[in-house]
Amino acid sequence: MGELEDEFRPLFIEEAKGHLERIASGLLVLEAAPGDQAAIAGILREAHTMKGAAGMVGMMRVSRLAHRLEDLLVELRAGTRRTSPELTDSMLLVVDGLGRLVASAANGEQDASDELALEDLLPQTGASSMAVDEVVPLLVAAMAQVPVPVQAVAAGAIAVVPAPAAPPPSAGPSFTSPAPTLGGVSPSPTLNRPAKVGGEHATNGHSDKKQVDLATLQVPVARIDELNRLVGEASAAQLRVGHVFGTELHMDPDALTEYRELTKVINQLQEVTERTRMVPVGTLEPILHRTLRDSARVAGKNVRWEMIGEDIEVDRGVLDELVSPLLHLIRNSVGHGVESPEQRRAAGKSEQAVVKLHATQVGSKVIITVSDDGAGIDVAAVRAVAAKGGLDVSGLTEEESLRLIFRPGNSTAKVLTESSGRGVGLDVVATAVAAVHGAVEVVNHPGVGAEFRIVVPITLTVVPCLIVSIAGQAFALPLHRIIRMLEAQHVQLVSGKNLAVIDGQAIPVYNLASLLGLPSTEGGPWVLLGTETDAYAFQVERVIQKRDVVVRGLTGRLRDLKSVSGASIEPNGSILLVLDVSNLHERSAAIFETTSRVVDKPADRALSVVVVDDALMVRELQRSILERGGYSVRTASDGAEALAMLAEQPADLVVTDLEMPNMDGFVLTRSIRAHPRLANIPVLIVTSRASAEDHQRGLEAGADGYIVKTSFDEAGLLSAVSRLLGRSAEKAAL
Amino acid sequence: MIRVLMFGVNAAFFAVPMETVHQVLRHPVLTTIPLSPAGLLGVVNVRGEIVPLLDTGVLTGTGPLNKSPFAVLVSGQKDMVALAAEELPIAADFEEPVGPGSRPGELGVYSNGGRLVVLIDVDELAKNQLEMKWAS
Repeated sequence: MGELEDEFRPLFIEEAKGHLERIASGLLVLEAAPGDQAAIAGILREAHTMKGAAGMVGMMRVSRLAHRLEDLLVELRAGTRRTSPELTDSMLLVVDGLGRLVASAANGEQDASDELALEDLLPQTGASSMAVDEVVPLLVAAMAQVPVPVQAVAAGAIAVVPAPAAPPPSAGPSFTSPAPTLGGVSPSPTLNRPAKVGGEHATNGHSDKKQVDLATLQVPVARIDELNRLVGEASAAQLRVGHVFGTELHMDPDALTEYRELTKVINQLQEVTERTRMVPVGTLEPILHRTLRDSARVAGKNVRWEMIGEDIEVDRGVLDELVSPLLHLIRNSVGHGVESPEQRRAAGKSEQAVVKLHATQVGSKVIITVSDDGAGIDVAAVRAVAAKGGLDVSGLTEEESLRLIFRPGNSTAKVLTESSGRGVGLDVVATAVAAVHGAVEVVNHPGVGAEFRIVVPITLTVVPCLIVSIAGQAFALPLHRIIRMLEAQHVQLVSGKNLAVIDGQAIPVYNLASLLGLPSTEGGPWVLLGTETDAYAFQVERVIQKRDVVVRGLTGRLRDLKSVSGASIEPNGSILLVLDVSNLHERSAAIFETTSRVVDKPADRALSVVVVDDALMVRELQRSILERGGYSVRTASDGAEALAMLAEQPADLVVTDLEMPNMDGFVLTRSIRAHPRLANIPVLIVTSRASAEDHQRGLEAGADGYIVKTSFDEAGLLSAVSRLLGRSAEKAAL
Repeated sequence: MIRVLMFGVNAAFFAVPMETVHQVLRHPVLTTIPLSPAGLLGVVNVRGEIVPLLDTGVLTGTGPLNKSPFAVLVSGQKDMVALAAEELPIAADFEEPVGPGSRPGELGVYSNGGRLVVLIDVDELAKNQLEMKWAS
């Protein structure tokens, strides 16, 4: 390869993605309006440019395939060949193949392409098109390898930043490329706005392109993220300066004109940089439209695509997360919502169904609906499947029954799976949407259609939060998950159960500190979270305030932490953790199930012991010894779990190890002593630590006994336990 | 010869290659994370970055630390991490190792000023000592 080829090849690769995307969009336009000369001319121009440029940089295979496409388009333009769904299938598959060829070149890979197979897809010019039964299997195979768009958003992806005055029809990349990371400069399919080719959206060739170049600038997303981060830092630093003015100089910084000006400029800067993260919903059009088209072809259904609200802008991070759920909903609409042409005819409907995506902005939220004019959802079938899966559906309203389709692990998914061959249910959609602080609803019109409505915040960077104090530490709870707050006296606890009666409804309740393995205090206010039908309440130490929190996601190793979903750097430099409410809910539900079972059992007269050890073998050994000794035993694998267990249901004695993850035995002992309801429970430490210092520390933490594991035997443990329980009984008698 | 930063953990000595060290933090302000796995003391704010502070006691298998008056900020493969240190870390030059490490992540044992120091690969140690428990 010559030097010039070397130099220009990366440029071509970047451009090729735009050409391919526009060819694919154009083909879809042409399919909807066969014979549309403007559309044909647009695609032809793209194919022609691509052919020439590929030849110049020595990518001859790409050039040859583009040439074949061009020949076919010339025939279409001349009217010597007619558009057909099979021809569109073939041409789209070739466009996908070209994407692969370009991607493999960009990755510096040897060209392991299927060029010959691709060429065979296209009918010879002058000959007839391939038959349906030849193309559709290829389409099915191609759909199986459609790239997962979310993964396509590589760190190095490029965003098109629109100039404020002229929004961005721009050279977009190919969503058809199955290898999305092109040497770190790959534009994401979800990021760039495709210029539409043909029809009323036809571009005017080079003159338009020139305008676009002036109005937009391609910038690596990583750079925009860095810019956003630095502006966030500048803002935090400015707040810190203000803080120092107050604490060190006892001055109100806002009394200084210069400080006020700085605040104003930084706020404006923050607003502008946040806007650079926003991309129009229309950027998803190519992949959604193509998915709809291919799904409909495979299912043998006649479906038209409509999209309204392409210009509505959403944070890139939010939109990226919505790609998978939207694709899922579209496939779902085509697969299950829309009837076959024969069924539609029989029902007196037009043979052609419509699947529509509609985006609107309401305040700080964006609502995206995916609707179809199919048969709607068979609620009775949904209920039947849920009931078969062991769920009590007798008291459910129509609306509640409908929501069952979002339940994870609910066998309703089987209803979908059996007819479509896909193994995932709509719970995946609900989970993905919840991950970006959104919610999904469904509206059903039996016989007329169904509508799935996704509501998401426009941005994830600023989240309105309730700041609460738990065990002396401040935590943020996202406000969108909170129904309301309740003073302690308005919550009537059901004795012996984790239940309270709130507004006449029994609602599971938990002490948040216990749930988080922190020392808990009683008597604080309650925060009611969840939905009206699935609510639960957490007691906190106190509510500090409501305010917006600039949340940053946790990265690297911290991403795997379950209890927190993000964090914020506070003006004083401290870190405020944002609790993951979904995880809290899961944890509490697990505890609720466990303790409900225990509480519901007939009262056991045996004295109860909680055994805490991170080693399963030790736990089970101690359990077996103590159970043989006539005690009722519960086990926990660390201090945090034990504390949560005790807060739910106290015990007569705790036997604990010292070294454990999450919360060690010293902290557990201290926490028990600090807990008003648990303070009198005797604690016996059983450990391999034999030093006098550890022994002393254990007793100082509040332990009542200390056994070294190496010296402990069955009789020794039982004697220590009975001694401590005897002493405890004496204590209780006093 | 390899330039390293040495630090004491539970009366044992460990070192990391100097080229991975960003800085040493004195009295890092720690934010603890509820229900976090063993080995993670919490997070610290390093010039606006939220960085995990790892318990080097757990990492090296010498027993959990209760305090971290110093923290060594090092870059790992995936991210930056802070390592808890009980005393002010000191720089040194290591020649040939006197013995091999005894487990994955221990790059070798060196002699320095009459004491034995284990040179560690933080990523490898974290993978073996922490990752399994990370999701707990």
